[in-house]
Amino acid sequence: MSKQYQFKLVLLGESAVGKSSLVLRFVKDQFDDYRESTIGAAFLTQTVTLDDQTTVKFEIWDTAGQERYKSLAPMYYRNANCAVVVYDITQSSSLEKARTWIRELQRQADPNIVIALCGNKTDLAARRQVSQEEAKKYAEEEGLMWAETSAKTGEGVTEVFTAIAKKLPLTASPAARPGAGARASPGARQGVDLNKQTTAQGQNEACNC
Amino acid sequence: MSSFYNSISSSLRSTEDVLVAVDALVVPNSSTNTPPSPEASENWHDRRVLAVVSHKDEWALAEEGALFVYKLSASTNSTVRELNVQNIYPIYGNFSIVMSQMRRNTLDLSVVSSKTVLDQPRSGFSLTVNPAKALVDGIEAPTFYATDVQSLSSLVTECKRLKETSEIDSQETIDISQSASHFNWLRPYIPRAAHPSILTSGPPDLRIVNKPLLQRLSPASAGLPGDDDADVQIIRDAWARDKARSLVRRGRRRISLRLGTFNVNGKMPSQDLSSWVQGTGTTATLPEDEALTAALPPTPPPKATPPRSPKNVTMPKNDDLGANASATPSLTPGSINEVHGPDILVLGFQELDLSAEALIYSTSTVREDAWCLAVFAALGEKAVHYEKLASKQLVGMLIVVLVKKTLKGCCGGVKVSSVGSGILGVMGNKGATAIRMTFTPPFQPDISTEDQYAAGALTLTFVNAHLAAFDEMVDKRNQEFHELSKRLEFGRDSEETETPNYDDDFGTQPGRPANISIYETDALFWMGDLNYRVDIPDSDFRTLLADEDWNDRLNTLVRYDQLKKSITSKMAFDGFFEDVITYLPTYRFSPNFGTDKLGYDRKRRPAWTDRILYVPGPDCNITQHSYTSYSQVTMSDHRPVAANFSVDFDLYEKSRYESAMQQLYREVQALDTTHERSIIKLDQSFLDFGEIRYCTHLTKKVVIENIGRIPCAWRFVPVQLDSPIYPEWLSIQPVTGMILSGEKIEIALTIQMDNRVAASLNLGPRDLSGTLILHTVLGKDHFIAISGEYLPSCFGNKLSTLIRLPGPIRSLASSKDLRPENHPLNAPREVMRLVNWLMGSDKPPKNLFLVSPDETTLDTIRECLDTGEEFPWSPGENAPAAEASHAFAYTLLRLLDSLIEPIIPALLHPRCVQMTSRDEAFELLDALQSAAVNVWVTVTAFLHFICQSSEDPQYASKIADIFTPVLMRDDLKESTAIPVSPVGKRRFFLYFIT
Repeated sequence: MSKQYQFKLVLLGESAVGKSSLVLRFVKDQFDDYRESTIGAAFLTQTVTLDDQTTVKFEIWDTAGQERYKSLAPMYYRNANCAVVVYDITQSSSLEKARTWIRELQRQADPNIVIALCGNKTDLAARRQVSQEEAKKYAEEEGLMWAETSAKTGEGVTEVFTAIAKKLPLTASPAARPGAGARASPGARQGVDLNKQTTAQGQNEACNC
Repeated sequence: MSSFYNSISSSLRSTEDVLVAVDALVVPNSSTNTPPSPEASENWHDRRVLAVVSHKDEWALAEEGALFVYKLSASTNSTVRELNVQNIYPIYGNFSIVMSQMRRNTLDLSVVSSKTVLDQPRSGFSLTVNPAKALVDGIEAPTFYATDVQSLSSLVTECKRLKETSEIDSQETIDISQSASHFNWLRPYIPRAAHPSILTSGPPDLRIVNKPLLQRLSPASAGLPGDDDADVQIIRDAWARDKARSLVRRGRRRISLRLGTFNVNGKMPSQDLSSWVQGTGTTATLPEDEALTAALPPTPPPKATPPRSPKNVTMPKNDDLGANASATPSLTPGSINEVHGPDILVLGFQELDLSAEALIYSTSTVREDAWCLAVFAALGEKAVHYEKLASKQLVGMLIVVLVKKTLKGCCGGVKVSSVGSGILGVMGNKGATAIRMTFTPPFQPDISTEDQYAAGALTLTFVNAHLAAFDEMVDKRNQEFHELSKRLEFGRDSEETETPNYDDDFGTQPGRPANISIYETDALFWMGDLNYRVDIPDSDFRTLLADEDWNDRLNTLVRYDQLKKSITSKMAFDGFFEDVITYLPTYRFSPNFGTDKLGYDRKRRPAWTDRILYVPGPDCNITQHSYTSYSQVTMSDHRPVAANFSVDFDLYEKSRYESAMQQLYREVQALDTTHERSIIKLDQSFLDFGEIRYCTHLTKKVVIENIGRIPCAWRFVPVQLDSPIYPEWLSIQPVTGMILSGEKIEIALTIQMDNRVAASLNLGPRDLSGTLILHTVLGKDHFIAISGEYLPSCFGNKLSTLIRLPGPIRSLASSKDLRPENHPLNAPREVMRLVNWLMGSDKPPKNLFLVSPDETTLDTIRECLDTGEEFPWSPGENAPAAEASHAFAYTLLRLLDSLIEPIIPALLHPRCVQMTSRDEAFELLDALQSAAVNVWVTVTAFLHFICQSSEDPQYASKIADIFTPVLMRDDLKESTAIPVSPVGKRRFFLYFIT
């Protein structure tokens, strides 16, 4: 029997490290060279197939990185099953910021949260300021997943999310995780959606007026 | 090609095209080979339009087609018929159509070339559709009859072409509710979706539609979007209703109503009721929009009719009424009211029959007839212009609706209901009777008579209730109100269940409630002997009531009225309106002995038991023109009460409204049919309000533009579920709505730094930064950062705070720097500065406090008080100083008024009014805190000084009128305290200034 799991994932990290680009690459396999800064929080979904029997649907909250909106971040990472904390390998200050986010998550988020530290922009490796060793060592100390990606080339992106999907505790009952909100999922156009969303769509037919 | 080609084409979305449209008639299945009789073509019931519609996706790669069957709607006039989709057949798989000439051998089109068809003589053809799947219901293959051979053949050709292009496997099942499915584009056109129940079920429940839209949406906050799908529907329905109304509105209409309630105490009519029944004249009907905004012209009271005894007047016979009812109103809108008097007169009686038998079996209409007769008698010479539309009696409760004969044809849908809530909760000694009716305004006479009833109707509901008696039964009355709200229902007759025009083909909608609530109306009026009393000791009430010096005494006493309190506390009658009560209590009068000097029974505390309330719906305005009791009608222990109203409502064509709704629904259908996200753009995401001072009023605007391809429903959400959407110093308008693709709307963010808000901010943090969250439904949360710096003010503080300020309030860094509680100032520095300035000139200017000041000067003075800077004007007798002195005077007055607690607390007011001399008054000041005494003495001494210098003998009393309500402000929250006569407070104040 096939199983579909649903998890809430939140992206955190300093402004301009490429959070939205990472999500765009993962969800739509696209890349924009000039993306406007996210002012708000975007909700997207994408489904990852682990094997013939199992799919994991991510409900992704892509948050604003600007300091001004920091106080709102807890609203988006509450009840999250996993967090991807992104830094820019060409900006060592962004790793510092990532550390701050990780400390905050460890202190305030769900204690079972799976955290992945993700160094983005490997396509700009020539301007690298954060060495792989440094980041990896920190991740190991804190017990985090770690990977480097390039949203621009797509390198490592799917792998990060697949790795998270595999690491998430699949013992919990399918699609009934705390993060699985009541919302219908209009995104995920090419997601392999085994349990088709007939219930959510069917509700639209009745007019509540 | 069908003449409907263009209207079909315009009803489609941009991704769809109509390829061909053919006029046809539907052929009953039993007579497939018989062409419909010639007269059938005159019968629009059988007329259909068949159209082949093709859809191309965004990249024009794939094309899908479907055969649409349109039906003509009955509701419009003969020249413009509405088209409604009756069925849709997707063209794929084993879809086929078979065309044959009538009474000839059946020809399969797949083997007949179009040329052959063309060669055939001009005669009728039958067309049988074998659907692969019908999207509306499973009716068996329908057959149509058409004569336009050329169009018919191109229809067949297009169907064939589309079937060939279709890549769908014939075995594939199609569920278009699946967004990824083939033919998903058809979904907006499916009739059931296009005929929202909003159209068919009459007016929605007032208790729901009168709630602000945002409150009807699901709870949501940042990161927790709530039930977006349900929210979309609520936002969309509200949007479509508003927009459809504004699209089809052809003007406004006004009808006048007079409502009266009378507890007759079991008496038979024995007195002239004309004062109560007729009252004063109402305003004339105003035909056009602009007339409504104009001031209502005062109309002279109708000529008094001589009192007549009911027995001298004969009631109009029922036969006469019947003859009139069938007459078509020939009135132009402007003359609806050509006869003076209300268009509709609704009278409610209670205790019509107090006999025990009445409770058990009340079949007799003797008393009802007698009272109706008396009402017609009271109408005097106008009686001939009215007739009874409906009545309903339950034991002692009777409600009667009279209408002008000329408007009888506009009235319809009359339904009555009654509920007993008395003994055992069911008996009719208490309870309510109700009448529901519709009023369909006539259109202009230049439209043919056939159309007169196609206007949208106004639904009116009247309730006449008698609730539980006795002072202490307020909870029971509230409970009865809720009971009646629930149990008073009107039956839905079969004609309404079967919604005309469309549902006949698709079956009725299941799950519709069987009965109509009294709240499913455009306007609800609720009157009767509601029996609410006044919570104030009997002796106080009678004393205050008799206090002729106290002009505002009724207002003050009404604050203790149980009904007003129940409304405020939302215990009952929530959402109801009642006009200001300007009449004396209507209960209980005694005819002979044991009365006080106003005529009230000494054993019962007087009360406003007889009331008239109303609830306007979103589509109409109710204006109340009068609310009075009639003390000349003395036959009962109650006095009758009556009120005049006018109801303004939209004039529109019903069918146009319905098609506008369908059109609008189609436009926004994409909201729940596509994957696509709505994308909006905010023109700014950071708003800095800068420095915000006391009384700052500043609006900034954010423009949101829908840059996506589908409509966008949006709403503001709070950061957390239990927090407010925006801080109390700000207001946002609108807070939710809908934007179509390409549309822009403006959201206004307005600072409201009034006294209440300032009071909460004065000692708090000065940084007002925050984030507003605009959630696009099924999409993203957009942040709007707001910032501002609050500059604290000496206005809006407690006196005890002002005397602990170490300097000007702006220089206070934190509340830790306040002076210790045991070392305060003697009096607030700010009050002293103002009084010193005002006392600075030898001769005070005339009419201080009576001349309105320049507001900019006022702002400057307040700023100097807050910052400690010197005033830019020195006192003196020069012109600028004299000018400024009025602003200084007003600043003093407003500063005192802004204090969170008045100088003399409300607790002491009852003692103040007992002081009989100046010395006693001064002694009472000992009860005040020393700072309050100092302010009181300083201010009154100054006022004493200016009163002495004034030549106006009335000056002191004018000053007292201004200052008493400020220095001795009532505590409005504390409604249990016994009201204190303002006259007495004024007398107390005058001891100090004269």
